[in-house]
Amino acid sequence: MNEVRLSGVTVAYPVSIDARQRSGFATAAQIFSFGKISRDNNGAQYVVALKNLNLQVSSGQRVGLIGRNGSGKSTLLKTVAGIVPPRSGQRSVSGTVGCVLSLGAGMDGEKSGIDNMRMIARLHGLSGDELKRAVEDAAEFTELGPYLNMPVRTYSAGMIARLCFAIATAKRSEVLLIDEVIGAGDAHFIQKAGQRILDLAQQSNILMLASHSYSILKDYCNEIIWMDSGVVRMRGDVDEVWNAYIATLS
Amino acid sequence: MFALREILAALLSVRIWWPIAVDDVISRYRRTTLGPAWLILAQVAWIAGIYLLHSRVLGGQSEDYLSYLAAGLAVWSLLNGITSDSPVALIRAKGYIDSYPLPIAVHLIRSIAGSFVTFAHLLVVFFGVMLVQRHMPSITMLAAIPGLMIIAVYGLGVELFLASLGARFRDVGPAVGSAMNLLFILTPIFWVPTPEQAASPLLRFNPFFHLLEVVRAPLMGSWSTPEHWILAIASALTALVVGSAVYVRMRATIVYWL
Repeated sequence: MNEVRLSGVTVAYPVSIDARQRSGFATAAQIFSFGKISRDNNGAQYVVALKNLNLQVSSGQRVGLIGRNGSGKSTLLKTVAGIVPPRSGQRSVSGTVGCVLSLGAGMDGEKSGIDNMRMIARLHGLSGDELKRAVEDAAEFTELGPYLNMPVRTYSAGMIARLCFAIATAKRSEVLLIDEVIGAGDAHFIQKAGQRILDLAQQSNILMLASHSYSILKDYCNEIIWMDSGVVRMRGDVDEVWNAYIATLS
Repeated sequence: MFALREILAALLSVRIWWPIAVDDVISRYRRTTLGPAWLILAQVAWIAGIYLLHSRVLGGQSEDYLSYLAAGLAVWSLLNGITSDSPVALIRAKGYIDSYPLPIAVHLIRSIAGSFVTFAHLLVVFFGVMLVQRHMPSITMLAAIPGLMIIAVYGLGVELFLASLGARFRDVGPAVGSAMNLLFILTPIFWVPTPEQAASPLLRFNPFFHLLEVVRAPLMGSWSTPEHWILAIASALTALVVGSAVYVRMRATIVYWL
């Protein structure tokens, strides 16, 4: 049984701090004395992205995340993925995690499309036969044909988007986290992409999908969480929460 | 503890970090004609310059000086490469860290592996010099392998230490660069210390001297002294312990500072 559990999780990003506020020596003293020697940090500013959040998602739940920009949806996904460790609280996730969070990180324009896909697949944690199969599957999905052997810098934006999307969605995992990624592409590709996400979602046990689109949420999710300023404002049936959210926007 | 388990998980993910490290080195040479040969040529130029300086200007050196230089410069480039790259290792990997849930220590190991690959290139120069001087390789050279393992342990420790600090305090990078410049002069790389000099505090308490010796001496055909081995191992273990402690303490917030 797969599960995602966050208890009392707080995630706060520090705003760039003026060098004088915290000298290296003062911090070294604090680290080596395990916190005993320290001076109060005056005026250090933080952007609190998640505030004392409690969340539990079990197998079979497909949760949509909605909310205004800056409400904490992406941070929540990154925290569940393990990319952002919480400042306080506990995170526990059982099951393999796959994330489709940002496309194109790690892409090298000088390398060919297929080489880039291999590298990105590796960064996703794939290796050996699984990697070979995933790359072949993604290569076929892109429909880029002979372009796959050319350097990515010769690609158009749409082609790059197809490449990134294909390899990002090549890994099967038990817990799937998706952050509003469809990106550029023609109508044919958008339809294919939608189907691929659906297939991927059906092969996973837990889905968490951030989106601004009602139709996507309705198709893929069986409940919605509405994030507002770092806390869960409402959680429940897709239509109910969506309508409540829309009501506040107007 | 999560952070320690993460370091272990990163070490074990060879199938991830090794191909990326090799790719890092290959990427540097894409679209160049000579590729990795440039590294070697640069080293040869260095060695030729210093050798000419000594033989033509400063008054001769022993027969072994050329291979001493080649070995010393190769090992120093390994130590310097790892140490100087550490402060920026995580910063440079920010794109990867923000997008993929890999144990972030993978990027540190990738940095170390990259330095070892460069070292392998420079070792070619050393063997080239051996060939030119018609020295026979001896079985004692294999003793360089444990020496390199000690350097790898040191590397992991210093990466954990400097990468964690370097992510938060951006002065660490330039400071380390300056320190390594100083140590390049103070460490016997292009000068051979007499036993008395080797016993002086300036050399004895220079961990790089010992880390250098445990690889250079075997390459030159000798086992080096027990003191060098003991101090090299001690330096490596200290680096690992201190590095792990700092990393564990700072892990939760490193990502925020990148």
